[in-house]
Amino acid sequence: MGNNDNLLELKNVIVHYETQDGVVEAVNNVSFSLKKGESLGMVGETGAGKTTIALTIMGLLPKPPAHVIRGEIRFKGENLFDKSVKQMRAIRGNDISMIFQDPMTALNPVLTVGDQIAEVVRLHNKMTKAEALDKAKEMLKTVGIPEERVSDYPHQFSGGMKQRVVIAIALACNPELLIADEPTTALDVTIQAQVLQSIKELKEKMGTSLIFITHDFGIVANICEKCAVIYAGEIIEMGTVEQVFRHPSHPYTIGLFESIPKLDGDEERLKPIPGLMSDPMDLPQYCSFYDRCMRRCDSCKNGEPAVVDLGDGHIVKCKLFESNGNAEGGQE
Amino acid sequence: MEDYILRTENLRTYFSVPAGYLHAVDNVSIKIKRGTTLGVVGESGCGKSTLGRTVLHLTPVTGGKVWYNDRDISKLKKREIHELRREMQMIFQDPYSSLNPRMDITALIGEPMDIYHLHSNKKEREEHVKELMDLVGLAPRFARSYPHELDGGRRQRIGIARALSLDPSFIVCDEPVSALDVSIQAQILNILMDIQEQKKLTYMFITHDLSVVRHISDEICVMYLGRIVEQCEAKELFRTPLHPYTQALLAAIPSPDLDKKGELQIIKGEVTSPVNPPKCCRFASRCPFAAEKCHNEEPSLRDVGDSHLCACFKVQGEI
Amino acid sequence: MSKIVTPAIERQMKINKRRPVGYIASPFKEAWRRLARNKTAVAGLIVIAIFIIVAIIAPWITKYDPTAQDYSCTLQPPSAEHIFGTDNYGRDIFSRIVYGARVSLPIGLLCAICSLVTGGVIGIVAAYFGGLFEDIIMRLCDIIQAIPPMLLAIAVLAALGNGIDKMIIANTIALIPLYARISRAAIYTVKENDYIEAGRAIGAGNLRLMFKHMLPNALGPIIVTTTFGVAGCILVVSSLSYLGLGITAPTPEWGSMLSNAREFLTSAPYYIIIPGVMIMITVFAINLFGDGLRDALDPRLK
Repeated sequence: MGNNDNLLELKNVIVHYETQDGVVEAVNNVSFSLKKGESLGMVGETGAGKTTIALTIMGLLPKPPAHVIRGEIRFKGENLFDKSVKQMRAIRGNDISMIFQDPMTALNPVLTVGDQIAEVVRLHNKMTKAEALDKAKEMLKTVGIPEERVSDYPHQFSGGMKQRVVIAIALACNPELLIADEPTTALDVTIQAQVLQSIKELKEKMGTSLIFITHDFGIVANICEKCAVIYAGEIIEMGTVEQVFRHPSHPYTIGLFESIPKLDGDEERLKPIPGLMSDPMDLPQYCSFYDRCMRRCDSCKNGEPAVVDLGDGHIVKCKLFESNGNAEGGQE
Repeated sequence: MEDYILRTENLRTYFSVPAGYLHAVDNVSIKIKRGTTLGVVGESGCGKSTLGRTVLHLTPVTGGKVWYNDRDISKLKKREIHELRREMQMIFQDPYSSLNPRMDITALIGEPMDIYHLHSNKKEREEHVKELMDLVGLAPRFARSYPHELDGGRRQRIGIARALSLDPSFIVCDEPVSALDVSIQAQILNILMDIQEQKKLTYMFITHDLSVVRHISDEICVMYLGRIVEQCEAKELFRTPLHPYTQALLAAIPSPDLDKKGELQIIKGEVTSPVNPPKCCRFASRCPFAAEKCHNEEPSLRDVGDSHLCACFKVQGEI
Repeated sequence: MSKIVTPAIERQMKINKRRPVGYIASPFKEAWRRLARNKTAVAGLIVIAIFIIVAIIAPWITKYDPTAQDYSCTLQPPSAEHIFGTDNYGRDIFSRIVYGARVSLPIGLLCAICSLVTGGVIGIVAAYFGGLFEDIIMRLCDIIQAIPPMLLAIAVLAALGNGIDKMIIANTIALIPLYARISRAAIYTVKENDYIEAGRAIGAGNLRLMFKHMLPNALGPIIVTTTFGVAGCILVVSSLSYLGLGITAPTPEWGSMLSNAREFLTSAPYYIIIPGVMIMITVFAINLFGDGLRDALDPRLK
């Protein structure tokens, strides 16, 4: 795999939050890469470290308490950790954009939506105000909002419309990478379907790469090509959506699939994963899923599991696969 | 004759707002059989939470009637409401905000017992709290912990134990798992179902999540802008959804099953305002099948066969 | 690959070794820990503690009776004999300052507590019931607040006559609207919380909802206002005494000392400077402490 195809590449990134109460090991040795136009769904529970990974890529970690302990993030071949504050500012919004979870608070209530889109455009391009406003109208049209509404204020929009305005702002400068952090969690299902559709269409039209953070496997199945499952700050399983959804291998991934109530099927009781995620302030020296795992064995307590490739880039971090590399689940 | 623990007839809850009246719950008639679960589904602002609160007298009734064990409880005195609370309890949506942060678990679970003077001595009370913690699966070592020290799942267990402490027979569950992660959500749903069986409880389960409601309910009603648009037995609703809104709702859920994935079905528009709603089908402006009649008249909820109730002119064969 | 151990983790591991497993700090300990980290707040607290101790052990650390007059040595500048000098009646200023703390500090505290309790209850009840009742109460508060507190206190003292008890009443009345307003605002921030409705759902009555569920959660801003209130009261009492109202001679009180020293501003400047500086230090220390307390009680400022 040539390095040059990769738009984004994370290598062994470790991020800690050093608080008064202790050290939160938020991101532990995360490595993945994303090609141009590819979309990656990051799935995990609350506190798994998904948002921290996104903020690390954006260079928006609150420092202190956050510290990047190790690793590198290569964007178009250049290490983002080497960039100055000013260079990062030029990259953010222009090359990499992010959409946050809550559309209600992401917009400034005293500026019109047109001004807010135009502001981003003018920050990164030499343009007159009028040109920028034209661009804003164009962007609103692309996300499915009539351009007449360019001079409306955020409170005049409903929740789904606001999230679309946020998407318009994020995409105004044709970024090469869009990071969406649970952009539809605060929305109703019918509205969520509309917003997901917009994101999907825009991604295809503009060729943007996408990292979609969510806790909903259904969304990943619908709009992503690759899927990474995050647990306690680590990627414990990653592969194409086909690989992960058809052959979930890590006991945690399997457990997650089983605990989702199905819309069909006749199960009387759900099969929850017992216990809770381990405290990120006190992670064990061995597999962090050990305490909740149904298939654990004694060898699991001997150090961290290695990352095993099950074939065609379907990787899993579990002792069960360590010894017999490609034996289990390897044949597609 | 069926044994209904709770019935409402044309129940209305309106709120006065500057622009007029917000019709949060509008002519809702439901019946819940003893020992079963009625699921109430709908999107935000459809009045599902208000319905639950009105039934429990947390929000005043504007009009219509509520019967609990065949006793009219829509017009009660303060004293009578207080007595009724022992039998009708509520589990709240957000376990992060519905527990007083200054009280520890024992105090939280024990508080209802103090209010109703259930126990004459401390030891009895302590035993009762322990028993409840055990029932909802909270380890005894958390007895002196505060809510902020616990995760969402444990907090929701406190909420359940609190609701159970007065040994009620009817519980309104207002989105009890919406704030939780899937793996924890499954734990809590199982607990709720186990306890229901053990204590012969009746639930009114309010949620926006169709897959959750399907799992736990015996009967489901779908609400849209304060009205019930469809009501029937749980499996039947998923097998043959009749109302265009129910169909749209089901089609909008992204499925994790790769074989069923396909384009998400999208219905246009957003929920219209519940303030002074017009006299017509409330879904008409978003409905792909809307005919002229839908914009002029309001369909009523009618049995369209096999006790499957639906409020749609198209389904009722009138257009 | 094993886990990365950073210096911060090593430090934490040492702390974890000292603490028993499952260690959970109570909210009070947590607040205390945050307060202890705030250096200016601790400095304020130490100064206040010293003043209180000095006031308690006054008879043992003073050589002279604060009211004993000695015409053989009037208006003496500070010396080994009288470290703060003497006043125009030959009384030892150090003794008067020390005994004065026994008057000024309790009056400040008492005024603040009285107005806190009455004002607080009024504010909570108004916020809880709302409606016309709240409107009437708050408009009454507006009227009282429109009068400067000094003027109001003077008016009350003029009507009731002089004396420490009347002084406290006057101050309390002047401060009630402030506390009513603060506690009303504080209750408003917690009133809409789900746990209040949850309390209602388990059948809790009005009193329980107000004082068990709302008040403890709204306490932060109220406590802070109280510390500032103590400082404010000391100032008002001193100012009133300076005007010759409230505390009557020969009771030693910092404000009345200032007032007496006016005539000797040029001939004996230390006489006016010393009580002035004492008032300043006390108010400053209490304000610092109040500031730190506010931060310590806010868990978001971790």
